[in-house]
Order: sequence, then structure tokens, then C-alpha cells
Amino acid sequence: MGNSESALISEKQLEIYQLETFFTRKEILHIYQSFENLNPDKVREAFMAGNYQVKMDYQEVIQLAELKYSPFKDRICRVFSEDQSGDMTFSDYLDMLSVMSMQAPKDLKAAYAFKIYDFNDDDEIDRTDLDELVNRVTGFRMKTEDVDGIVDEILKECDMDENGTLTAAEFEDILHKSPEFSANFNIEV
Amino acid sequence: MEEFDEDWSDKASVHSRNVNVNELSPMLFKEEKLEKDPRVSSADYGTFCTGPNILTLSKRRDILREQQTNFRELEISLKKSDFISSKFATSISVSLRRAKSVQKSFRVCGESIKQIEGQLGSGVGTYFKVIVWLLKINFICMILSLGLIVGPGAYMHQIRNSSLDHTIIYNKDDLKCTNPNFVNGSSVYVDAANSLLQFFTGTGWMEITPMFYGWYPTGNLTRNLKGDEKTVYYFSLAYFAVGVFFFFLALLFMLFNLSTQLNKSAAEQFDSKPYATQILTLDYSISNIKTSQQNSVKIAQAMREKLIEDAQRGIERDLWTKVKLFLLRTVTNTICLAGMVGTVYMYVHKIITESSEKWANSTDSCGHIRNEALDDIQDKDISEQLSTFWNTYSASIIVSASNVILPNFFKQVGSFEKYRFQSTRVGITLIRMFTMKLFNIAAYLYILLIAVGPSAGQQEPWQTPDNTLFYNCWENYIASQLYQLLLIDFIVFCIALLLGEVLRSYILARSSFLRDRLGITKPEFDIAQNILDLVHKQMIFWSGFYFAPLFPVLAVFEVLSIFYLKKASALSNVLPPQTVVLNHQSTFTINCLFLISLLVVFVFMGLIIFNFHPSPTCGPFRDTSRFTDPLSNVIDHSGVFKRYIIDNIKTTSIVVILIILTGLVIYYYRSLAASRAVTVSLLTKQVRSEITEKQALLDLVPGHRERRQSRAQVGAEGEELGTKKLGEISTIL
Repeated sequence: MGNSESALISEKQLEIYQLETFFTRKEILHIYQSFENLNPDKVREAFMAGNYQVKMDYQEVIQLAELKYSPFKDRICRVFSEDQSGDMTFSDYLDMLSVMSMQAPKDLKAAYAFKIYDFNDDDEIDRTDLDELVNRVTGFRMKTEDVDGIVDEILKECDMDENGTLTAAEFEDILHKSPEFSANFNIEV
Repeated sequence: MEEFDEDWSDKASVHSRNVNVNELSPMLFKEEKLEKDPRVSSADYGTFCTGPNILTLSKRRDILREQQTNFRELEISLKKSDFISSKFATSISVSLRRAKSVQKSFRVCGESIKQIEGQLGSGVGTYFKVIVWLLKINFICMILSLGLIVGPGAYMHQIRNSSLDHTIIYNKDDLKCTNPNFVNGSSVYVDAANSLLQFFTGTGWMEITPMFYGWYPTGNLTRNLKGDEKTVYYFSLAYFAVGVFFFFLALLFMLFNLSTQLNKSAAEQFDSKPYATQILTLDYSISNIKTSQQNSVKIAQAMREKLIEDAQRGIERDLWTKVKLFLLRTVTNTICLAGMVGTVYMYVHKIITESSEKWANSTDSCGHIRNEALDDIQDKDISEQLSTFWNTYSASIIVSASNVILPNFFKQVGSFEKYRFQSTRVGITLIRMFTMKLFNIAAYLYILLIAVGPSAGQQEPWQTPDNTLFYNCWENYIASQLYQLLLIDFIVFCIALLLGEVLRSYILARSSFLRDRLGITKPEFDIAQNILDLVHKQMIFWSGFYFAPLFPVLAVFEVLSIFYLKKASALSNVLPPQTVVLNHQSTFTINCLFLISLLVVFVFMGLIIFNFHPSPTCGPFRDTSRFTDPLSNVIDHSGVFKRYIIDNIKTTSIVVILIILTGLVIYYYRSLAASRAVTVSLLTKQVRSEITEKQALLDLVPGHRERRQSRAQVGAEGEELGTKKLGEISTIL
């Protein structure tokens, strides 16, 4: 496996990826393998032609095992794709797995988690976002009044300025007090 | 004095002329939605982004390229010495990165854990990570033992057996501990069946293998160097050092680990956010659709229960209900205590009755069956043979079986106790299970000490000469009992796994009646119970390590076997856990459990090493009166420590001082955590008051007050609806 993938990605490029992400050379090649498995012909052809910006469609990206059944797969793909469309290049894919690896620092994970849970992309998590978040986490199994109750409790716990929304700072403060966040916000390579 | 300006509100308005937007706070800017104000340029607005500033990989690459170009240009302009330093620093950084990647490639069982986490969630993954952690500890112990004890011991055996004076390291008759054939000095075992039996009991031929203490030679390895006999290896000292210092290292490591986690965990305990933590820390590692659905069901259920619990917190039970519950819980606690004490009594009674006259007539000096008695038994029928089998292995079987049966019993008892909160019920069941396991092992070790007391120079008043069991090699007796316990425990574990998980899953797959009509499902993976099981097994390893240098090898094999057996069963025969187990609580609790069990073993080892006399007929300390003599000799000769320090270390006052110091450290961290909680609370108040002040200032801005009130109205309606529903739930209850 190692030789064929490393031939498609130059050593210099691998070195750069190692500097930019939290992965080792071997892990980057393994990630390339998983990226290629999404659409082998398309990826190989593009990489052999030196085109590292080949994009995987959203429907192809969510075939990754850990994304397939995640209730936030659409948001994850949207946040990590450069053009916010959900389609990903290899760089975007690598970035996603790097942020969601065990080695990534908590601050970085918290920042991306904030982006993922900000459904309306207004740089704050308001009631609407929290309603959507609770519904997705519980698989839309809870009654509206229960969801409202949970959202109220979350805002009581976390909304320091009592304006009905969570800013990035408040959000990071919550996650700093949750050590299991780092272990759970994690996709193993 | 300046006159009061009645147009102060207009002047204070942000919309007034010549406002410098750079003086505004980002929050204020956003409040006012000034980004839509045509008087403010978009360039100014761009600096007030309140969201997290995230750079994508491609943007970071551009920045990195620019930095590298700048760095190269800078390097060229450096002096030669600075250039060399810079290159050296870069090469060190590259080497460290490569070393890190090599270290990562040695990650043990990573793929397996990933597979398990994907199927069952990261909570179950934690259990397997604990197994890997234990594997590493036992592996280090194995390397130390093989390299410093077993290897040199075998070498010394070989030298002494081949020496001209044919010095025999041990006299087989001196061991005389189990197989009576040693008395005759004849062949090691009677037949293949007995040989296999002796393998499982750790007796007979097993006692003259490197597994046990008695095999190891005494003295030091010497060499004739330039006409002088020089000591090249202090074997007794090495044996003592590996046995004792490994415990100290393990203890220090665990204390350090625990103190850092206590620091974190205590702070979080004072400032816990249960709802936010539950919702915002979803497990992203799941790659299985059923597990993903079950996870969402589990979280939904946990949230509903939490809402109900919170609604119930304000409700006081009446006096009669409280009395009923108190009586009920007293009964259940008494039953559980009786179960634990009864278990201990059964095997203690068994070991103590070995000193009874009836038993003494048919047993040799180690409490095992004499050859003549064995012949008689072989002529007897199956029931009496089984009875003999039971007499030999009863202690180990009782301890191992109770570890499987009692936890399930405690869970059933817990369901009758009607605790309001599930977390309370789970916590109490866990405490009972851990107490039972600890009590079992502690009592077992204590009884072994009593049994070998007379042989080790400790006189027990109730043991009369007729009932005294005198072991020629009491260390081997302890090691063989623990070896037996280890093997029987593993066999019981395999049987429980086979029947409880594999067979149950097999039958359920083939019986729709059981599945659909009776609603029986596959067993749930109980993380806490499985981890307690690991703690129990590790305690046995640690207890036996000093008297069985090959125990770590057994430990490594057993831990690896447990990993793969549990993995195979977990992937096909169990369901993910239904109760939510938070990782940070698990990590802290797991460390506590291992530390407490290590302390118990520490006390056991301390009692032996500082109070018991080594056997004069076997082992590396046969020529000394104390286990600590080799260390004392070295210290005396080195002159580094004064004698009174070593003498005082053995006294109980040192233990008391250590306990007080430990208590002070724990108190310090707890106080630190509490002080931080107070700091957080004060800072929160400060932030809130600043926000209130800010709101008051913003209210001076025309139109802002009305907009704020309309937003508050929407929020209050939602909150009222939520509060109303919580009230309805509590009424129903």
C-alpha cells in the first residue's frame, strides 16, 4: 500500500501535509487510501495528472464510515469544505480528519464544533440552532416541549450574558469543562 | 461646572456624526447591526468578526509558504554561526517529528479499538484502552523480571550445576511442599494425569520450575578477575529490588496520575453542566447504524430522565415513605453485606479447617493430600473424588465464582431500592461490587499470611502444635495458592463469557419466542463491571509477583487473551451500554480503583517483607534472616545512609506520616479545586454585572431598548412554555 500512494503524492507534499496537520507520513498515506476509496478512478487519474484539487462530491464523502451515520454529516462537510458546498478536496478531507484526531488541541476542536452547530451561520448559537442540535442528537425522538426544556437548561448553564444565544467564547468555556469532548469529537484514522 | 446637556441621548448615539468605530466593542457593533449602516465601511466591519477565526488547510498552506520564503531569505542574511544553529534546531525538530511517528506506529491494538469504538461507542473503547494500559505495565514488569531475575537465576543454576563441587541449589526434600514423591526423591510426577493436575495447582513438579520463588538460587554471581573473586551480580539484591521498587514506581505513577485528574475532576464537579455536556459531546467515532440509533435513543432517554429528576428535586417525600425506604434499604444492604461476608467465611473456613485433625491426617506439611490418601481416593467413587477436588480448589473457586455471581445479585437488589436518580443506583451498585472484590482478595491474602505465619517466624496464639501447618517453603505455598487463584479465575472468566454472552446470543438468534415473546435481548456490555474484573485480576498479579517471578509472563498472556476474547464477543454477542458513562468520570474512577487495590497489595507485601523470615531451605533469601538484608548490606557498605534511617523506615510511624502526607496532598488539591470554583463563580458574577452595565449604556441608544424588549418577549414565552411542561411532569409524578 505504502509505495503506490507515496508515488502519487510527492515527498515534498507529504512533508508539507505533516507540518500542516497532526498526522505522520504513514497516517497521511492511510488517509489518502481512504480518500481514494471514495471514488478510485477519479482520484487516481487526478493525482497522477498532478491535480491535487480534485473534489469529491458530498454524496461520495459521506460514504466514510464515521460520517455515514452521523447526525451532523451535512454540517461537517459544509464546514470543512472550502467553498461551503459540502464537496471536498483532499486538503479539506485531510483537514477534517486532522481536526477530529486525538492530537488536535481542544481549542481547535471547540472552534470547529461551534461552526458545525451554528446551523444558520450567524456566528452565534441561538435557540433555533439549539433546537436543531437537540433534535438531531436525540434522533428527533423528543417532544417539542421536552426539547424546549432542554434548550432552556442549556442556556441557563451556559449563557453568561443572558442574551439567549451562545457566543464562541461561552461555547468554548463549556467544552473546556468537558474532558470527554476531546475523546468524543474524534474520528480515528 | 459643565451645564447638563439635554441632548445627551443624541450625543451618546452611535449614529451621531464622526463616531470612531474602532472605539466600539465588537458586541456593541453587532448589537446595532452596524454592518448594514452605509456610513460604516466594510473594511472596518471586517475586523469585528465575532465568530472563531478558522483558517482552512489551503489558507494555512499559503501562510506557511510565505513564512518559509521569508525564513529562507532571513537565513541567507544570517551569520554563519547563527545559520548553523538554525539548521541544527530545524534538524532536531524534524528528528523529533520522525521519532513521534515511529512511536505512533507501535500503538498496540489500535485497529481493534477503532473497530470496537465504531461498533459500540467510545465508552466501551475506554475498557479496551484500560486493557492495553495494563498490558504495557505488565510487559514492563515482565521485561524487568526476565532480565533481572529469571535470566540471571537460570545462568547461576547452570554454573552451579556444572561446577566441580556439584553444589545443588536446593534440596528437593527441603521443598517437600506438595507432591509426596519428593520425600522419596524419586521421579517428579506419578503419571500424566497427576502431572497435569500439578500444573493447575502449582504444586509438585511446578515448584522446581522458574515460576516460583523456591527455584531461585541464593548468593551472588561471582567471577574470578585477576586472581580475585569479584561479585558481578548481586542476585538477592536484584530480586528484592525488582519486587519492591516496581511497586513503588507503580504507586508513584498512579498517585501522580490521580492527583492531576483529581485536580481537573474536582473543579468540574463544582461547576458541572450536565445538559450541555450531554448534548454537546456527541460520540463521533460510531460507524455502525444500529449503534448510532441506539446512541440517540440512549441520549434521549437520559435527557428525559434528567428532566424528570430535576422536576423531582424540589419534591419532598412524606415521612411514611421515607421510613419505608429506610427500612427497605437497610434490609437490602444487610443482604448484600451478608453475601460478601458469607463468601469470605466459606473459603476462610475451608483454609482454616485444613488444620483440623481429620485433614491433618490425610495431608502433608503443605496441607495437600498424601500419596497414601491419594491412592485411597482414587479407589473411591466419583462423588468422593469430586469432594476431594472441591477440597483442593474450593478457595479459588469460591473467590472466582463470587466475582461472577454477586455483581448480578447486587444489580437485582439495587433495582428494589427505589432510588430517585439512576446515577445514585448505579453508583451504589458499583461501590458494592468493588467492596466485594477488594474484600475477597484482602481476606484471601490475610488468611494466607495466617496460614504461613508459624513457618515464617510469626506465632499465632490460637494455633496449637497439633494444628500448626509448617511449610518448608512457605513462599512457594503462597505463590502456588495465588497461581491457582489466577488460573481458576481465568477459567471461570472464560466459562462466564461462553455461557453468558456467546451461548445466550446463539440461542437468541435461533429462538424467536425468546426474542419476541419474552423480550429477552443480548446482554449489554457493562463497562463498570468489566473494569472491576480487570482490577481484581491485576490485584492477583501484583500479589503473586514477588513470590512468582514468571507471573508477569502469565499476566501478559492473560491480558492479551482477555482483550481478544472480549473483542470477539463484544463485536457479535453484546449490545452497547444503555447507561451513559462519561469518559472523564470513568478515567478518574478507574485510576482510584487501581490505586486502592495497589495499596492493599502494598500493605500485604509490606507485612511480609518487614515482618516475616525467609525460609531457610529455599529461595534467594535462605541465607538471610530478613528479606531486606541484601539492601541493608549494600547500604552499610556504601555508607550513604545511616542505619537509623533504614530502621525507622520499617516502623509504623513512617506509614502514619505517609498517610498524613497523602491526606494533606488530597486536601490541598480539593481546596485548590474549591477555590477555583469560587473564582469562576466570582468571575461569572463580574461578567454578568459588566453585561448589565453594558445593557444600561446601550439602552441610551434610541430604538435599542425596544428591540431588546421584543427579543426578550419571544424568549420568555419559550421559557414559560418549558417551565409549564416541567410543572406538568412533576404533577403527574
